[in-house]
Amino acid sequence: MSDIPQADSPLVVLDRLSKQFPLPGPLLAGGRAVLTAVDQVSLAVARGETLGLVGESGSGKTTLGLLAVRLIEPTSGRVWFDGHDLHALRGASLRRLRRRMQIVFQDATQALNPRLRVGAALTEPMEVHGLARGPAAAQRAAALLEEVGLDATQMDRYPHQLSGGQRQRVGLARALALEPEFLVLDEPVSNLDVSVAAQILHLLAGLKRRRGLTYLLIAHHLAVVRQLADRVAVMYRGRVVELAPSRDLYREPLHPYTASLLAAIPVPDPGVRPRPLPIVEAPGPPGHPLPACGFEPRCHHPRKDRRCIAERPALREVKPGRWAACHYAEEPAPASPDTSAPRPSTGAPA
Amino acid sequence: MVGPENPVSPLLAVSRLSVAYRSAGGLARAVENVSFELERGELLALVGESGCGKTTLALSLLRLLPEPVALTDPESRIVFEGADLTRLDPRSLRRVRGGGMALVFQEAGSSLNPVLTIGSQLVETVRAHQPMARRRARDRAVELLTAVGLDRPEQRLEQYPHQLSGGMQQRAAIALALAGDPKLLIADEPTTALDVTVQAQILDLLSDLRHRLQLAVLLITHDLGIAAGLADRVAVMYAGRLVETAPTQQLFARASHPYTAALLQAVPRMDQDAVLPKPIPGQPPVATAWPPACRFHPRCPYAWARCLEEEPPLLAVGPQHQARCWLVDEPERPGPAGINRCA
Repeated sequence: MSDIPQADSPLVVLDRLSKQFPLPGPLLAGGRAVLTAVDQVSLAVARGETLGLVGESGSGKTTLGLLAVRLIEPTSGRVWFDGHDLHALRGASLRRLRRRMQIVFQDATQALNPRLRVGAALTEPMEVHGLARGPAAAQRAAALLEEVGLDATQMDRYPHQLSGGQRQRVGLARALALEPEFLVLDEPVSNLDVSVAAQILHLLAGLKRRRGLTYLLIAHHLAVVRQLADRVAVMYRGRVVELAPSRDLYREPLHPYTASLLAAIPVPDPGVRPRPLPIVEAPGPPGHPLPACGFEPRCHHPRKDRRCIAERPALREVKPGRWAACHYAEEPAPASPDTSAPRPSTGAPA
Repeated sequence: MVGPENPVSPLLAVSRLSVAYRSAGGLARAVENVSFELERGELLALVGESGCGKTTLALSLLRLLPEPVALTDPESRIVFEGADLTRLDPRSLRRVRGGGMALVFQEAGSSLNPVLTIGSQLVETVRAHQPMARRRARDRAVELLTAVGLDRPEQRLEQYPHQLSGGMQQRAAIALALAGDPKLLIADEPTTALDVTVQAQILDLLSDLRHRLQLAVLLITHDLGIAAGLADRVAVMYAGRLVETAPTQQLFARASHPYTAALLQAVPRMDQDAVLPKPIPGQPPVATAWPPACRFHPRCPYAWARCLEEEPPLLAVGPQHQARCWLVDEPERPGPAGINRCA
């Protein structure tokens, strides 16, 4: 039955979503070459849950975030929000649903209109959606600023007069202006310095607690996700390769890619050395057809074999609550190749 | 605080380096009174958040800053292999650039020329440092690409930068930096633009190269994790100042400046259970208006009257370990756990 990861009382369900983008270049006989940014992804986000979505650049995580709130249209598949098919709705009924889902971008500088004062950036969406206007809207805007750790004196400022951390707070306040239930947070702290990033992470945790929000938290940095997410989905080349409760994923990754990703992260402890993934021979241009398992060329799982090239591993429940798209997920995946093995000789220059 | 001339002089001795910019907001004192030394073959990590002056410091070492805009204090000294670069004529300076010290930037894509092949850039650079026949320079280019771990180097020579991935571009940029056989490599956030798995490869390469080539490295990074994994010694910068410097083990075991200690707690950790990283209150200051006296005092949980009146010098915490904090002097006050409380 459970061929799709379920969640108890899901707020958002992504159902076999795919998104392809045409690649620039000449039209081939068989049509234009395409890049499959998101490839048959199914996920469910439970009400009140924080689902972390991690992956490296080009893994499709941002595209998936945009699909989840229907800012772009999928090539195939559906998004369900609180039981409504997001793609069956039009006009006013879609707008009513949109109010309940918002997105916060990585770069608040670009997300905010540079010619709009902070106050206007907050009151405008309220007016558009008919939630409040005039002094009532201004009052709500002031309250929102306070909630995100700014004060009402910031209302008259322009985005460029704020620091990066303050801008990100305004971005959050604007997303909250419509009283949403679901927030897609796309790399919310990756442009910020660590001391400020930690402030924003605390703010996100507090907002979620107070308002009972549901988050889809997208980040390339696994450590950022660890403390906030209840569950984490790992993406690789458009596919979800692992999905697990946060705690389990970091303790015992089941997919070899997750294991490699975890091992590559520098830890502020001189006793721990990051371990790199092996370098791959030409992984192929974007749009290049993947072997059945997209990770196969870089995989160092001892059981790797022909099956990995011939048969696409489905995301399956390996243990209760733990999903992995690997034929050999039952056997532990080593973090990286044996580092004691001699390096490939690189020949010292004179 | 430069001691008497060492019997064996370090590769690089920077003393009282100050750099300011004329900017719309007034004079920005990006780097103030920074002194440090770097031994041959040593890897020093310079750690700090954006705006703390670490990149200005790196660029000023090679005197690459635009001179009428960036003002280097006349007291500043940058002694590299015995020569003071602040007084060198342009010709000799050119020889040091790339030949003595070389730079690798964050964006490899922007340090490579997009309209020239990797091969022609390498050959040109090799020959600029050492006159030789094109064919020999080409052999040397292949050697360099092999040294930085690029596969099929002969083919790479014919490729343009855009044909390489980000990680491969950074390798090519490192090859270019090594073309003049430098003694010191300054790497300014060399992996910030890369994915973690690729970052780990490049860090591995840097550590490998420095051992094989006896290269000293000044690694500029905002990531304490990177410093922990690679550096012999770490220097922490805050608001244009060096605030703490120590051998790596020592720094992570006994962070003594409240800023270093706070920074360590602000890093999201992979290896710890679900505890949110601890933020540092307030905002990092800006170079046009550094706080008076101790520059960290507005954000410091331990600050008292003295910190608002007088800026502390770098005080000795232990051998080779210094912190710019009055707490070093006053062990009975509360402070970060690392600071010596029982010496």
